Amino acid sequence: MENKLYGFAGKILLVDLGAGTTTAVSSEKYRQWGGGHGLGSALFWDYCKDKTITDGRDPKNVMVVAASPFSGTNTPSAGGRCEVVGVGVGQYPVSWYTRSNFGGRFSATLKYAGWDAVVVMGRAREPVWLDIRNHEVAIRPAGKLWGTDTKTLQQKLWQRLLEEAGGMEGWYRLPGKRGPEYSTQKPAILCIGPAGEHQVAQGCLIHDSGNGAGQCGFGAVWGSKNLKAIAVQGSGAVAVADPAALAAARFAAKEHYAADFDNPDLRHWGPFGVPAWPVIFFDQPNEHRRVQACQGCIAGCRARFNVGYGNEVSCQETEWYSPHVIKWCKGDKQKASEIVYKTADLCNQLGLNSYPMGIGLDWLIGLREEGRLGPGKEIDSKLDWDKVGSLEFIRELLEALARGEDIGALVADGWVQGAIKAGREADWRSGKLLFTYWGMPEHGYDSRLELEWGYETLICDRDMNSHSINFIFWFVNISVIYGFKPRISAEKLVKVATDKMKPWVSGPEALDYATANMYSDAVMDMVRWHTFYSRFWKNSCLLCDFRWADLFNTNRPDLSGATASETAGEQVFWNAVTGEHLSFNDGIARGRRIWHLDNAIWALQGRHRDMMVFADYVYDKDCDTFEFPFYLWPCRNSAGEWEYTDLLHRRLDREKFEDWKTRFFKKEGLDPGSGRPTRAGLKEQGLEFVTAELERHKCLGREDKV
Amino acid sequence: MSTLKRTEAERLLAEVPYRDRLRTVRMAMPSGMRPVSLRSLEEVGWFLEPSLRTLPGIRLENLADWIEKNFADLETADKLRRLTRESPSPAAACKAAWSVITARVEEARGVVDG
Ligand code: SF4
Repeated sequence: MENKLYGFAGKILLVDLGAGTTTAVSSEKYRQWGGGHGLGSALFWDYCKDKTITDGRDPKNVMVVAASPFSGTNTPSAGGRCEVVGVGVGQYPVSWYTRSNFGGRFSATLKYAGWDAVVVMGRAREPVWLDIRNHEVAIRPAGKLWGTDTKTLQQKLWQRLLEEAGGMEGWYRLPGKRGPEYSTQKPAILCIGPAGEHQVAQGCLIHDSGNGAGQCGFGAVWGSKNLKAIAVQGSGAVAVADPAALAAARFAAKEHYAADFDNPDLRHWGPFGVPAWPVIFFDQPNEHRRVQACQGCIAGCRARFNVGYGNEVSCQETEWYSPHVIKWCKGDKQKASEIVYKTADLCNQLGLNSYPMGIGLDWLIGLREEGRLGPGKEIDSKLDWDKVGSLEFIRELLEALARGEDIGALVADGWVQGAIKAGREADWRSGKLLFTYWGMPEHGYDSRLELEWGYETLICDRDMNSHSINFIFWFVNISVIYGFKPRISAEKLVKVATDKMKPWVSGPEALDYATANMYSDAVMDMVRWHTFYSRFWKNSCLLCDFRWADLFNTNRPDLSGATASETAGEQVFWNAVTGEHLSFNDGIARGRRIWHLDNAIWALQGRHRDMMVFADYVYDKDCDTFEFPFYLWPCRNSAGEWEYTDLLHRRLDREKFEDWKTRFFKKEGLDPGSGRPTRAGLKEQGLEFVTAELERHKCLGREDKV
Repeated sequence: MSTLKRTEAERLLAEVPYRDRLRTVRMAMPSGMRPVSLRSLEEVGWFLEPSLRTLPGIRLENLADWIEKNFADLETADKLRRLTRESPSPAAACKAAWSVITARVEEARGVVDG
């Protein structure tokens, strides 16, 4: 049993667009990396011949779309997530080797077709799409598909593939081992829209209506490779090592940790046990909706509506334009709802990442108010800025952004780059253009307060977007805002949560964000734990960030969440699916190794510790610019007692944070002078195979400083 | 019967210059805090309207100061200060503030529209 690649489809698809060839290689060698991100990093290392590139549109870039052993299984909130890696587009000062992630059913279908990952190399001479039907793969000319939006593209491809099936109404035909097989399942398509085709930094990848790999410009990467879409049809299954154990773990998760469907606790604390509820932030179009979810999710967060728009959209895309829309509609929420949801649809159809837009639009409006933006102004724009808030305006703006025209030309390589080009660098430095790290917008959590968010983002490659610790903020602050006594005391919460992090952290002080403790080793250990947890369990195994890690859970008498538990912990699912005997902490150690491999790639790209800094305002100004009332977090008071404390009105101290970085590098066996890998550190991580390449490029760190 | 003069009512319905806007946030779990700029009392009302899905992130004491400074509406500002002190929770205070602001805007509109 140990030798079989349980959980893995067994093959990886190499696509060389330049040569027009496709090849299959065994997944066996890559098993050690898990799936998703780890698998992607290992493949990138092996197949990207020049890792010094810093623009994802370089034809030498290699991009990997990777499933995990959980893909296509019923592991809760994991079966449908998919990871994308490669050098990105639009970050600042450098577009790092980076990652993005999306949900739906693509990764599961890829597995059912017999593939664990697709590695895309080179640049096609003309626009193409990739047709995967089980083991048969073809690179096909895109023809008139190039130029379509993501909705039209998917509809056209579904129709074409049906027609090619030979006219059996509603049935797709796939090659099987014993002849043709038939399926009514629509092919899973991952594609780009006009934004990707025009290679703008906000170009993203879209699957079905509302699943997007948004951050880091992977749509632009595909556009540069002339790759319009990957369509997958699969009729196989995932071989699970111990199906009974998998079913038992799923039932245990449902019974002990998930929401009670009939009697949900609406004041529940903890991400895993929340009732299924669409994560949409503006009044929904109407009440006639169905729940929609990624494959295998235990508590879906999407919806489909009978009005025909807003399907599957979720989270930030349902909110960023809304303040302007409400104003435009003079408070009419019904009317506003239509514009908000159609705007989200438009972004998805154009293949545009909406994440930077709320903050970006805020900045542009400010420039316009100051008389700097408009027809013939310092920043020339012919858009009708008097109509901000209308559907008409946003359609024009989004089209311009997607095609790199008008204001879109300014920010085509990234928003910070655009600010610099316009002579407005000071706006970025001062936080007026609220892009905090790596040329990316603040996620909505201020790095001066929410330490793990900021610190982790800087030691990685992008806005880290991992909410496991951040849920503390939400459950505590929402309780207080509504006048409820917090369900879990500060003392109990930090204990329950940090018990899950041992031995990586020594105790509850790891979550003490008080100013006196914010640069401590304890906080650093928590950041390390969370970085490595995310690198393996979330980004590689592809557990959904909205549900995992479940550190605390009020559905349980002991308040301890599903994470690392004996019945429904991450490792229980992993072992049931793969047949391995991995402990929860073994997984985190794997995440650490993956992070070190990533860091080796960043070093080759030229990373130095001096680049790992926040925008100046984080150090220069206290966090009190906005009117939010408080930012409560568990802290110890001067008497040593735990209480929920307001963290507002502070800033980061440059020197102390630099010292924090030094200690972090030392602890990870990196050269503290540069943050680069050392020979000994790489050996410790079992990464000797990267040493020669680092040495050749003079990117190895100095041992004597560690 | 409103005691507002027409000029006062007009001022209450006006928009302040961009530089005097009130910078608030909308809190959306788990997306984060999103900046929202408010420039009129009417917009403040829309912003405060209770929603099942997001929360207004605002310090009502500062809102009161902003209203007093920009709209010279001491009466509304004092009401907000009082309900900030007396409300059982920030959410309840925001809901009450929404009623206060909405009523004030209606009153001003009544005066302006005759
Ligand atoms: S919580 Fe939402 S994003 Fe996560 S797996 Fe479920 S449906 Fe997908």
